[in-house]
Amino acid sequence: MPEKALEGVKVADFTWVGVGPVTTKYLADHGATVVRVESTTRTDILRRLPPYKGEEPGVDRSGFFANFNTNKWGLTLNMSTPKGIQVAERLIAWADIVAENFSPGAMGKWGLDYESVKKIKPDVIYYSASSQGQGGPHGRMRGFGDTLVSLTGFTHITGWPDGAPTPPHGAYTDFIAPRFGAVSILAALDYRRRTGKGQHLDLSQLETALQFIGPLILDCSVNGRIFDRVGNSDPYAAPHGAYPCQGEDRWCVIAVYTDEEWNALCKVMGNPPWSRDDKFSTLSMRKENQEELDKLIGEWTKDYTPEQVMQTLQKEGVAAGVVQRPSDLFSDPQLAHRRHFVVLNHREIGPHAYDGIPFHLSETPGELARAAPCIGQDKEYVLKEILGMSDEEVAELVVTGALE
Amino acid sequence: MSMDADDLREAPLKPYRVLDLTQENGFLCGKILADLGADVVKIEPPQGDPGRSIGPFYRDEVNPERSLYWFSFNLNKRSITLDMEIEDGREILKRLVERADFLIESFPPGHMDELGLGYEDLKESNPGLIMISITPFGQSGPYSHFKGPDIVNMAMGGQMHLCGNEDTPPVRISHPQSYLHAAMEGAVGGLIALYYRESNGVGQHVDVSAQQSVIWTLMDATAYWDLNKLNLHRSGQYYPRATSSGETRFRILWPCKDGFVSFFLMADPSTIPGILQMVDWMEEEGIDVSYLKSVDWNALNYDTLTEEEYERMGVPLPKRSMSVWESPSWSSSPVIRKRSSMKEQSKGV
Repeated sequence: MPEKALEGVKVADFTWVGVGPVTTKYLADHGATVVRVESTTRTDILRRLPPYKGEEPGVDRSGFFANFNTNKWGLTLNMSTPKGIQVAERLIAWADIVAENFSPGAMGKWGLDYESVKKIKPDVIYYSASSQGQGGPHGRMRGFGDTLVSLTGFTHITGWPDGAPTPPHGAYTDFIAPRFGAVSILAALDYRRRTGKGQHLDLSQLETALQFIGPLILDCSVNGRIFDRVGNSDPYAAPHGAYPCQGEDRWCVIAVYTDEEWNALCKVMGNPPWSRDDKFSTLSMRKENQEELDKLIGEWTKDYTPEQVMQTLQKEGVAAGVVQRPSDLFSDPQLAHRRHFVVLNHREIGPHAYDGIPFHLSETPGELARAAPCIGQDKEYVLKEILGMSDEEVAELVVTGALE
Repeated sequence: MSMDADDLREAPLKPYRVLDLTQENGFLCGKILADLGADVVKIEPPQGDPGRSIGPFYRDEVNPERSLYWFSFNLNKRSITLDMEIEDGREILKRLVERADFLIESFPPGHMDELGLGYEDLKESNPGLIMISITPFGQSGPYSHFKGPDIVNMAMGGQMHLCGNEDTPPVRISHPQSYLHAAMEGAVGGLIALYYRESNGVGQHVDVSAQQSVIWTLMDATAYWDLNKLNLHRSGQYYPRATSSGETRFRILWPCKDGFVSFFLMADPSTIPGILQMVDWMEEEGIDVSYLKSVDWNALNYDTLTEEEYERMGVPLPKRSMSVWESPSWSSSPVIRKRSSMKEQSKGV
């Protein structure tokens, strides 16, 4: 088995919900030892959200939680007990990286803010992810991705120009921030290796999301223009959109940028007379008559499956794709080739599929090896093997309720 | 991170040189490494990178030196031009590679190999090189040669099916996103490779799939299929939820007097105090909150809550005027100013 790139990197992971756990997952999937600290009394929200195995709720049955927490060791601590805090401090002394994404201030209440932690571990890399940063007038504002999607503008720029906005699915900005988080942690690790210095990483989810609409912000600040949603339209392509196909709610997308691609599309459609009309002869004409063009293309696509449209057009050099439903992803041959879905045996859920890593490393590929932990699953291992506690010490922690 | 001279000296990726051969589908990868202090050299073809023709443009002047799209994703980089179609150009690139730490490219799979500049070729002269390749579907496999503009990646990655109204076609986010997700995955992979290289000198090839990167925005949707064999569907202003007895949904975007406000009535120990404060505030504003006062938030069970009950809780809430963001509010937003995420930069245009 190949080596893992981050073997030896140690993470005390106090994160929860989305952004934090997805960030530390990058590290865990590439060999870091990540101890996920949870509470049995204030369980991670995702443990209480569906989908559940067999649609039966339970803290160890959520696939939503499981997907974000592969390869991590599960420890539970009651942070309102002095002993719970003591264990947390020992874990921090062991770790290279402390990660948290509570509302700003929460770690401080436990005496585990950056300044305090630095006294335990002077070169610690301390990662704080929050909605809008640790300071400033909105620093203490609570938030989930669902609301930040609107605050950052994504809701406004998604949907049809003549209708209400429709936010992208899935607390969208929650899946932008972890990528910046992982990059910053890895950069800080390299910096520490060279200089011996740790640091506090203060990530604002909101600001990471703005990186994904940079040109629109410049357009606003330079040209004073507010960008509005445009449906599926694109300034440099026509046709460019989703077209109905055979079957219920089945769609394909087609994007035609050049005249060469347009001619190829016409050929595949059998060169219908309308396609030779002057009003579709150039990109600017096709843009001008886009609505009519979309209808005519849709008339053609509706007799085929989206897979047929994609295969036929791509073969002729025209960009096309299936609007894949979640179920389609599981039978997608390209994703199978990439080994995207990885089946792991979860103690409570049993064997089930996890989303894989979008990048492959040629020498030290990441690996989904262990399913997400059941709550507190690995406390014996963490306390004895990692922190070197004796049986008696662990027994005392159990008695005092520190491990709840 | 602010970028004055002192900070730059301390920037975390200061010692590293990056050759950036990407087109628009990879720009952000080099940009983020540059922001963290790496010396990133953008290598453009002699006629200029095609990304320079993407709008919007500074004062709407269509000109390769005025593309705001280009500016956004290429600041902090240096630029040289190199004609890789000719032998001399390729030789210069090979010499640059000898002293580089990273090379980022986003050509169709096989293109670099055809030029004699594939990973296997380049690592001979620089075994420590980390080469990051960003493509729609990855370097190999049945779809690896498919064209993948943003809308194709968003469709094939599953986000479009879940985006838009139930009764209108699937829709993509109006500003291209898939390249940005993929570019960031490339940066994460590249820095994981750097950590490994610094302990043993071995570089590697990082092969990124934009399609897979988009799948990582679907949150709970793949797990629904995996565990319950249920497909979520796009639900407009609602968060969809599926059970074998049918689909339910909770509103996350609410119409207001002058726009929309976004909130999710998530009753959790961490959010209940906020909900109670909001109810008190609404009462002060003279809104009828009798139903809201009757809700036992601690006992609220989202596994059995119906859409009707949820809507009833939410209806009185958005009476105040608040709106979904439109971009101008940012430049005057105090929190952004304070954190100086946005710095004004002058450019000689």
